[in-house]
Amino acid sequence: MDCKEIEKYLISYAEGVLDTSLSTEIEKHLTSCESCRKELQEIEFLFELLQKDKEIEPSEKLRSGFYQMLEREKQEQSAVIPLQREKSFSWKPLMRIAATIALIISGYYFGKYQQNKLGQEQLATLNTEKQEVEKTMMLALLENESASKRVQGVNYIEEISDANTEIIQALIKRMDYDENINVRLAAVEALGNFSDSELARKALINSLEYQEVAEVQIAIIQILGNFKEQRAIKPMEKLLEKEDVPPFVKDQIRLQLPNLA
Amino acid sequence: MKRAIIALIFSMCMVFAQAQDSDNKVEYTHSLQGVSWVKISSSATVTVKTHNSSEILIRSKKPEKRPDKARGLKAIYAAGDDNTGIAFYVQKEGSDLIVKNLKNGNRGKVEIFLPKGQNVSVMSTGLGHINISGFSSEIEANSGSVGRLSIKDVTGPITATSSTGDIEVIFSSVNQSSPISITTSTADVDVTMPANTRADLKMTSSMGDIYTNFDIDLPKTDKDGLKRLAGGQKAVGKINNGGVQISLRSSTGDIYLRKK
Repeated sequence: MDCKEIEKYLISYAEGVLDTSLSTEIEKHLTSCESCRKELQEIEFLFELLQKDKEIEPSEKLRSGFYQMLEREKQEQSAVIPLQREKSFSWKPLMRIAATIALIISGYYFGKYQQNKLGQEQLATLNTEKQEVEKTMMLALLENESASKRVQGVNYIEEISDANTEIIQALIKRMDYDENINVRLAAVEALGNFSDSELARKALINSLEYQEVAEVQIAIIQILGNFKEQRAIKPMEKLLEKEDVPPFVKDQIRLQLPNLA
Repeated sequence: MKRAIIALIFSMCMVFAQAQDSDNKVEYTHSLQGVSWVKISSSATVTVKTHNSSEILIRSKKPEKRPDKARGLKAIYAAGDDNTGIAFYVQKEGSDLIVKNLKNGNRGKVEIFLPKGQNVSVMSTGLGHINISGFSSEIEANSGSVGRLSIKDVTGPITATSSTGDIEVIFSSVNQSSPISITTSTADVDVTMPANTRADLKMTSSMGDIYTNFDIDLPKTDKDGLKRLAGGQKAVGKINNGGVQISLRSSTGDIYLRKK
């Protein structure tokens, strides 16, 4: 297997879900390939990040530390009191103890507050990192060898609103080059959500000229109709003249053309 | 005595019939070690079933007697080299096992057996149909320009495509892990699945109708006791509170979604 193929399996490999023969093959490759090893390290790092991404609580140590100190203080107190047991009752040691306890408690809360603040900052960076990871994984799904997983990747994209250029380009690649018609169709439908994107619009218009499968043609025609994309009139009229375009595709064009004019 | 003779004759007939049957068949097996996808392409009708062995078994018709004129010559095929001796090309490429049926038409009709959990992709390159049954793994199927597609007793995930041949899929249960997508140009899509299946449905027919007896809140008209959902449009909805994404599409045909 070459690097490109190995790359496809690395996520599964890191998860440890591959069968043994495949994973030994990958291990063999990893010993000889620096770049794949690096890739694997990155994936493992991402997994670690995802696992760490939990609410941060004040540590158990802090809590037990407090109780230990309290305990020590109590013992000291019991050691001290007999010595002090003179005739008159003194508030002094009691005050001292109260002050100590107040100090410890305020120290505990101050520490907790500090740690919370730190935790929230860490959480914020982790969250952005997590989004990055999700994007990376989504883009990786689009390259998965399982067509169903590629459809899943495309469907995830449909759910996020702020898709960037990289993601739209990945969708266009699926629409134009995926060998599975179901994936191509899912990609067309996902692109239909980005009416604001000039990149998506242009890609759909271009694609109309060379898509050969009727369902894909129809899906694109309908989306460009919804977009009221006037630049699509010409390529659509061209399709009407082509003999090998099925009549029901031409019907769809005739249905959409009045929306565009 | 009479009965014994009849029984004897009967069993002899059975043995004879069986012998004749196996005389007409030829088999080929290949290991599936390290194979994640078996990719079958055939221009003739192909039937893919499951068996308990961990290998692939191809059962094809015995090649007819070669003409005398062919003595000393080798048959060559457009689709590839015959490296199995039964007019099949079988080759492991990376983690894929490529399986090409080199004969077409009735002569090339073939049965292929695989383990139940094997991912399989089946593509028809000619006029043949595709029958697939018994798998609990991922199935990819494309029945080409005119072939029918029948997929039974499966769990998905499935991605299936046909151009003019009807697609029928019967699920024994529905795997929730990743989407199911079925598409055809001019034929009908007919899907049956258990009544308790959880799914997010998206059914699209540009010029046909959509029928179901699943509970989705949409307008109804009757045909064969199934609700008519929408003419020439999309029906999007959840069944049993939603689950795996199932997308069924036809450009000019109808879509049928039935409870098992």
